Amino acid sequence: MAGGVPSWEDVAREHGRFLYNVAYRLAGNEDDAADLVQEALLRIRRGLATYRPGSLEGWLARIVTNVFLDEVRRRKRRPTVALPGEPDLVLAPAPAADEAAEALSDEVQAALATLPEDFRVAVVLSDVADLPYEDVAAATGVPVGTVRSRIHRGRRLLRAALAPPAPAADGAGDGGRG
Amino acid sequence: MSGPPVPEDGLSGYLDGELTPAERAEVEDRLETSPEWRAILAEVTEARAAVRGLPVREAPSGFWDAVLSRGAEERPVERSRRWQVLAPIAATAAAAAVLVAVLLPGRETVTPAVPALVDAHAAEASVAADPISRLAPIGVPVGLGR
Repeated sequence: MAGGVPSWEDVAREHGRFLYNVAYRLAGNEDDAADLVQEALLRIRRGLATYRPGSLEGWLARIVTNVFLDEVRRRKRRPTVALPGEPDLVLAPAPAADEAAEALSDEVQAALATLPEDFRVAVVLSDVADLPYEDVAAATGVPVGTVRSRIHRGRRLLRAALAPPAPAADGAGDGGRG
Repeated sequence: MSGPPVPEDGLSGYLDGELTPAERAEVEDRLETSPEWRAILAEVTEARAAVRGLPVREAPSGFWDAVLSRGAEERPVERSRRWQVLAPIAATAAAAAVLVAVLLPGRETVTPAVPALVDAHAAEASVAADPISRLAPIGVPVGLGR
């Protein structure tokens, strides 16, 4: 990584894990994550000439987010039919895990997949990519206040998706709502 | 304290350390007096912890080797599911072929070459109308663990 600007291979080797993880949490399955990463790497390669050293992971997150949102828009314009047995497209939860230890993370991933894309992107960039709000705002092209709102609403929806309200069994609540 | 009151989403900003000192103090005051805000804070704290607790998802075995070995070639990557685009076209062609076979009068036996019709139609449609499928002849799928 001479001169402060990494090569394409440096990015793939040193930040590929970050890129793939963010892509997977956005897309929800391996196939789409792999496609997102490969397209992102093509854009990264083209963009390296103009990259200014700074928050590299913020820049990478912006690119993979843009690829994801472009793909979401493309698929909304042009719905496709999945072959039997194939995972559903971008909005799908992760495939079933074969290890019990992954059950909880699969549940969280499935809950993430239920979020509207804008909220999912904000939550993933904040809580998976660990970017500050300012970088999330730069990656998504919205003001910091909008980022905060999306993260907050996304978290509330996610919490609801993880634990749907149980029917009132004994009438006892926490007494704090309302 | 000046300015408008901190809205509810300030609770996430509070968790993430994204508030100014004045906003933080305001949120803490509100938390002392509002059970509703405390309940919402508990919700978003759980959600945040759940996502942050997700393990790093690794790419399938061989993925990075394949990506790096392709690095010298700048070409669009084949989408892994072009059949999802072709499937409706093929299904339409097959349905049309069956319909023709059933409705044609005066034929005692009809044996439509459905597979050939489907292949021909799909191939033509993919070349003429679908920019992704046009890549199929040159695309080499990277091992995606399908």
